[in-house]
Amino acid sequence: MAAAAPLVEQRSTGASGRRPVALVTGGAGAIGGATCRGLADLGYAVVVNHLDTAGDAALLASTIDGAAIEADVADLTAVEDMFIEIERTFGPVSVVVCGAGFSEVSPIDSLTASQWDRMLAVHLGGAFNVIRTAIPSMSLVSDAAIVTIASELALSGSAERAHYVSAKAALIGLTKSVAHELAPLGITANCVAPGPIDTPLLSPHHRTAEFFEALPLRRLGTPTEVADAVMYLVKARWTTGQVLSPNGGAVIQ
Amino acid sequence: MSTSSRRVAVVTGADGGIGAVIVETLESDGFEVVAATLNDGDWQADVASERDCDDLIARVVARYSRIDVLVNNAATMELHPIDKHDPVAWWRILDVNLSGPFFLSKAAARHLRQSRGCIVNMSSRIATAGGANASAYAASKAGLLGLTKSLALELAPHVRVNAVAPGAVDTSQLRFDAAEVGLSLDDYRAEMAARTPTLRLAEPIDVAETIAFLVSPRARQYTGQVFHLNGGTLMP
Repeated sequence: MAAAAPLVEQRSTGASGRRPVALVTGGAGAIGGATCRGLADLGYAVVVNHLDTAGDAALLASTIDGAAIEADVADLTAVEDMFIEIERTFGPVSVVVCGAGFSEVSPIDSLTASQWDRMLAVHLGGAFNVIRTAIPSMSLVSDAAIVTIASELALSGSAERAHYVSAKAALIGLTKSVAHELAPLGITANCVAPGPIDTPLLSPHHRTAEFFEALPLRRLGTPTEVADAVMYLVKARWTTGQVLSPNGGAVIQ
Repeated sequence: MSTSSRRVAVVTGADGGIGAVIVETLESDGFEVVAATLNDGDWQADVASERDCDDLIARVVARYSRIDVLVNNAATMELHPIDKHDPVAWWRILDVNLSGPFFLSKAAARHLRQSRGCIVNMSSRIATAGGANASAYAASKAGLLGLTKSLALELAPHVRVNAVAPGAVDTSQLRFDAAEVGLSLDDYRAEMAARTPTLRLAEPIDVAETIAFLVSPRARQYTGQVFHLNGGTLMP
């Protein structure tokens, strides 16, 4: 049984007990980090979930008066242990942002079953595990919100990323279904589907002059612009089951 | 090894209410149809198994030397509340409905490139609309739209890839849906029709004829598209 690592640190002295709690999976990356900072600015006690990036996560957590916790979201037991730890330390979770993921390029002919399975397990299974486990906690609070992070490519398709796009598109289907299902509990579920964002993970192709020429707004998005979309959906209490795609006009549909 | 002068279509889930009509319709359009099924028959394959998918495609090529059309129709549907969803059931639905079409598309890709063929994936209205207690099914069918669009780009210009997204279809499944909401089959059918702008439920032939169009040369400019077949209940 995979046990979640103990929360690194809870810096706040007393006030955190009254702050609503937000969990951001994949919180130590560029987009996750901007999202964690945005939620902290809104007054949330933010738990930064990560996998194998303890240094970045701890540093981020220390700057936002939050906490870092390591868990592989693809592992349901690890996710359940993570929630036990979070609830014990902070109380029930109000907001989950499912951002854990990775990118990979492979033509269909050489895409292996294990690559396919891992992609689905992390992006889709990770969100399933986190949402499923969060519901008892979220049903105890008001203004609970789920935000999943998909991709503009889930809307447009992309060659040589069949597994990534399938997983991200499936994540949208999951989001819409739980929006229906959790609405009676007052829990919203929405999706942000970002276009090309200026992060270290962005492929060189997205930094070429030709790419910018083809992009209506002529520049990459910033992690903060994705976080802004997440913040909007956390606050928008009459919005559920929606997909918001900050993408510079890359996909207009 | 024999060869077929006729175009060869592989249809999965061929013994289902919709699948059987797809098989008949493509046969009447002149296709040699490989009717793949989970349990019995000459073309048995569990699409959730990569080995079965590879084996099915290999057997088709050994028999006919070509594949022109792949219709990914096999699917499974279960309803589970998200917070009590058995992870094994969750992955079984994803494996059949989403991984199956991936395995078969991968195995068939080079044959479809050779034949300038096409793929049709059976999605669902729920992929776009979502559905309570249907998170795994909706995820699988929405994921299939992502797969459709990505393979449309990747396999172009040789292979066209499209999806059909039906709403309620009048098959034996409807009996279970009626029972779920405590109505008789006739009352449920009438209620569903009354809620549909066209005032009728789709029949399997509506789906089969849409697929027959998509795999015909008349659909040569369609790829990466989703054909919504729901009588106007959803206009995305």
